[in-house]
Amino acid sequence: MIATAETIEAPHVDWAGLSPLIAVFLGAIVVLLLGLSRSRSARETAVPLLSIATLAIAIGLSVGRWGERTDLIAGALRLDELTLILTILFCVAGIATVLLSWRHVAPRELAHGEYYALLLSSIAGMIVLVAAQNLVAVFVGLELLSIPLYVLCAAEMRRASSLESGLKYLVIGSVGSATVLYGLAFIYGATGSTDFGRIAEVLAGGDVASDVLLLTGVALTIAGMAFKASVAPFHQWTPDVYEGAPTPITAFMAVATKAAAFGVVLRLFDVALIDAALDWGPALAVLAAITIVVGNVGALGQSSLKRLLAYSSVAQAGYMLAGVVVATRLGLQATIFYIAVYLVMNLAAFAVIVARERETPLGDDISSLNGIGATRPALAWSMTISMLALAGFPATAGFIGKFYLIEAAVAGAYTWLAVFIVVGSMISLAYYLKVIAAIWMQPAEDDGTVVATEPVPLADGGETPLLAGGAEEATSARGQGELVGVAVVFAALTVILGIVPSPLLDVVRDAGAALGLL
Amino acid sequence: MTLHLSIMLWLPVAFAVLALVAPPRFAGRLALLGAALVLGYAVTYLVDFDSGSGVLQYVTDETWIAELGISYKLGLDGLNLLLVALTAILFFSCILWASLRQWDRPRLFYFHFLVAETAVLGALLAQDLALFVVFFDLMLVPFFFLTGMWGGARRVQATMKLVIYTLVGSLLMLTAAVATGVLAAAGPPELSFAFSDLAERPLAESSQNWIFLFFAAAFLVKMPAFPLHGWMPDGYRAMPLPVLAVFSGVLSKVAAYGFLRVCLPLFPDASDHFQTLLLLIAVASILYGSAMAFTTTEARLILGYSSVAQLGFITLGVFALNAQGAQGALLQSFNHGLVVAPALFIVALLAARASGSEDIRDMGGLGMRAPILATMFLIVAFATLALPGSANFAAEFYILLGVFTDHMVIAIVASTGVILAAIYALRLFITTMHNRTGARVESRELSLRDGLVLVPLVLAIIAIALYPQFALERSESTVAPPPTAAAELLPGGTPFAPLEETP
Amino acid sequence: MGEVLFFVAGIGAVAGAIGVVALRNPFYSVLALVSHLLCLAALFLLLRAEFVAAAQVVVYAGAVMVLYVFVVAYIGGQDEPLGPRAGRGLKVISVLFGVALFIELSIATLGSGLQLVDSPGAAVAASFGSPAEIGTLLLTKYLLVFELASFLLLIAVVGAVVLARRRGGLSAAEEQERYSAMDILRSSYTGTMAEAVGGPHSLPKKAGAAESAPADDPAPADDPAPAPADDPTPTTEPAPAGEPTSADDPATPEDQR
Repeated sequence: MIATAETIEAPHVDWAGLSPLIAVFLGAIVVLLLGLSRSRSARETAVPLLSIATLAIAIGLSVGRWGERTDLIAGALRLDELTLILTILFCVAGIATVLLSWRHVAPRELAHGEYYALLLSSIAGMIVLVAAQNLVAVFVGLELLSIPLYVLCAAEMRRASSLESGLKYLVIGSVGSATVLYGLAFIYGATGSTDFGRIAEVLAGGDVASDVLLLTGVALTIAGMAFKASVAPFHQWTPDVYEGAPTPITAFMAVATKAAAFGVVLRLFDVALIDAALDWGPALAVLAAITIVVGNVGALGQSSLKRLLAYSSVAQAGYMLAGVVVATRLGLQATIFYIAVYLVMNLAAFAVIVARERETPLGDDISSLNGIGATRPALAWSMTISMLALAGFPATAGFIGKFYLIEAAVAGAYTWLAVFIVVGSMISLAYYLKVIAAIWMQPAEDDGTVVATEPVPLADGGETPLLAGGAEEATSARGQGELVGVAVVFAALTVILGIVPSPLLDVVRDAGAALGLL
Repeated sequence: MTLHLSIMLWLPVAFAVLALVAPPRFAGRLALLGAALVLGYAVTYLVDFDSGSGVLQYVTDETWIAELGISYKLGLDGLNLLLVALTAILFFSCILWASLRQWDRPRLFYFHFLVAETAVLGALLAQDLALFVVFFDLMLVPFFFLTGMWGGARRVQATMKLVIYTLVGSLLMLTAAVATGVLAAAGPPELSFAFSDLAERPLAESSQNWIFLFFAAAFLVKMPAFPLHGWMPDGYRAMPLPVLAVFSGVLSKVAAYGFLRVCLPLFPDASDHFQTLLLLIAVASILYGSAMAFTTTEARLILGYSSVAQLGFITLGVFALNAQGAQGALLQSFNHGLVVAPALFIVALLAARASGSEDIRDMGGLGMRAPILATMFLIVAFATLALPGSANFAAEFYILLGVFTDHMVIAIVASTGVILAAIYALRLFITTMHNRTGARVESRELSLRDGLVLVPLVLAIIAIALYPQFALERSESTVAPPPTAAAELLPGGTPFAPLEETP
Repeated sequence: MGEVLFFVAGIGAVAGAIGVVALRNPFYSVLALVSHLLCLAALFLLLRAEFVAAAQVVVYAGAVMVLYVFVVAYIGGQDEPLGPRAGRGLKVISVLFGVALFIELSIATLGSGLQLVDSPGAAVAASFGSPAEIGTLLLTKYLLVFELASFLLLIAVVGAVVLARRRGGLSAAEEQERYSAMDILRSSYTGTMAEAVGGPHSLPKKAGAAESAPADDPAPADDPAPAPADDPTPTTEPAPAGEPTSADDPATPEDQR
């Protein structure tokens, strides 16, 4: 069988449409090369700066493409508002991660160039994943996302728990990837195509929806994606990996990986498999309910903030899944909105954790926050707002997000799931408030004295002198500007989006319209 | 004169921010100024209010979040006017009380205090269900901090218990509120949570029932009513006094108001369906609260349990489902708020004279050298026990009258609560003011500083006792619709329809 | 003929798989795995998937298995058989799960009545799965995926290298030298002691000889003998520690003389 000498017509490449992705890839390579430089300042300053610049450029290019809806490169990727908003979110998370890593030990141990190049390629993988509209691209995107993260988890090579985290994530992640691949193969076998559009046509055309092959494939895909999004009962790796990984990477995984996993789930289920919604809807609904309960109950007994947030992220994944379950445009919008606000809330919290890890010898233990309400007001308020938002208090973005999800669930005839969401929120109060109580209501020292932060007026009109260390900005705060900045910016965003959510809601509405759901 | 409710609503937050950034020694004065301005506004509304028309006045209606159907709609009518006034009065008194004392971290203290005022006002003024839920949940946040940071012993545990207890109800209410809006908008009309829109789109009875139960859970926990009062003793013990005074005086009334504003007009079928259940809960609260109030010896808890009983009366009035009951409930809400705050202040003064103990067994003979203080306390106590002539008497009379027509047995059982109130109120007065002088008791007269807070409040009690019509006529024209709406849908006619025409 | 081959290859694959877990000697296990993979390749051939069959043989039975054999040869000997170290409960559970899975698969297989063995299979074009077809697809429909896969391999290599290269971890000194690809470009003495003391010409000398930058000066060689009497410093320190002294201040030995 000798191929005839016909010429192959290469697919059209829409460079403008691909530009955000290309920017990130190029940035990754340039950063990798720059990391080989012998100059210390180039490695430690120019590399992170260049990473930030890359991500900022990618954001700019994404904004420039807003409103376009086209297929890229023979239909492998889809450029629409859903892709773009998630791209922007990944880049924002990436910028925050770079800032959190700025003076962290992890990039020094792994070497700066490689660390940031891996981070950027993971982001590139996420962009591919959420834009993918054929099964092969989904898988490659998933691997491109995961493999750099395995390495980044193990970045602090001299700390055993970091290595353990990397190895655990590698093993579990590989199982997840293999499961997804298996499932995708079944879906291809059942429908005869890897293209989302074609799969949807086949499903709409016949009774393939009751095909055992297809259902097996869908089930395996759900299971594999559940590994990535840490949806119970596939979440067991989450606390260990989150705890062991360097904290900036934990933050990145918690927000960006989750967003990517939900991005692909949204596109896969709400585009390709939408006509099988009656089959996967109830299954996902049960998963969501289990996830909400397991995540929230698991978080109750945690004393490590990272483990606490890991379990909280499991629970939050359950909330987001509720928006997927209903398979309506409202649900889609609610999920995207929640992904965005979840990112904002969590990054503020992680910035505070990184800051306190550096300031205290207590690591990420909850006691590291004791009494910072008096000593570090900026961090304290950021953490407080973040926790209140995660718990879903009004005047924060978390409340609007939950409101939207509940609205979607009720409108999609999944009222019982909405009740699960609030039951989960109730349980979650116990541990979110524990964090806030540590900040404001625990003394910094064991002897119960409260450090005066302000001069106390005396009877004769004078003022008591300030205690040493009681100043608004403690000396240890010096050189943490970027962490405080990240915490404050994202906390402020949390509040702003809680009071004026309309701009984000408009953006989300565009994204929701992109998939053509009802 | 343009009277924007938004100005009154957001004034406290503006001053809260000012207090947060101002030098600490000015924080208290700034807070006081903010509260005074709000009080001024509230009094203006009280005078300016057109009691003849039964419609919403001073309406502000803006779209807040169009995608979610939430509007920023505020308004005053007979239901919330008195409670807004009560809120302004109590917050002013409590901030005055607090600003005459030293607080650790004063800027944060007044910040949270003023944020709380905005949240309470917001819940009262909101004319949109989602907005109501927002403010109702938001109320809790400042109290969480106020209790946890400035509270007494075991404050952290107490505040956690308080917040989790009450938020369990509030979150259920969130689902219920969303479901109300979504299910009501099942037809072509756009999603909206405004009360006026929701009232025009009645829900199916099956939906009404579970939604009503979720709302009722939220309100009953907040009150607190008998089986759901578990947070109350710890919370009352731990809260700093001015905080407790507003919490007890105002927040519980918001819950009662919620029944009148949300449940009765929006879920008329369910209100009727669960009427007996709610009446039984109310009676149980009255009996349990009264019984606990005359067995416990902690002065604060006596007032706490008496609140449970009083809130039982208010619930009783609400679920009489007629105009008398509702009017009585509103008047009683106003009265109880006005009475419980000075009572708590007096308890604090007494404790200060009894070496810091709030146990009434350690007190006694406190009235010996303090005739003015004793007089104040006596007036407050008489108001609590609803002595004929007090406004509380009028309110309880209205409530019992409302219930009596349809549920005679319940009314008779509930009326024993009036007698029990006399027992515990007088017991509190006698054991503290008279009796043998306690071992570590020093009888002192009311100081000018405390008199500044107490005397106006007591004068207000007397004023409302002399002229309760002032309150009644403002609520009269609005109170009628919600219970009527419920009554009209009763199967087999409206047994208490004639009574509505009597007043 | 096809059926006969199917069963031969199928039984071979199952037997190979059993062999992998059943054989105690790791080396034999690997060999059993190779035979299993070869049988699978035969099955792929029966499905007319020549490319996959070839890839199976070349990549798995070839390259990957060679790695396995190497690893086994390095770390596993006959004296260390792969034995189950699991507890009794785990054993029982694993057997239970295996039986359950077997029953499940049997039901699934028998339920389909084995018709698929006789059926012609899905209708596909004659060229489906041929190397030419796959090549065309990789350059057209899956062009992007093809490119991404190359980047993925690059990143995987970078990841593997960074994880493997500094097993000892970072030393306390932050500015310790690191190996990087740029090392190729620099002159070979950069960063060594030789750089500090003179130039590349000193490099050929070995260990002890390298200590003297002025290589012509015989003094360092004589140094150990007179030193005990005059100045204890050079002798009490070991030879390498003496390097800086002689390098920084070559005049010292001459003054002693």
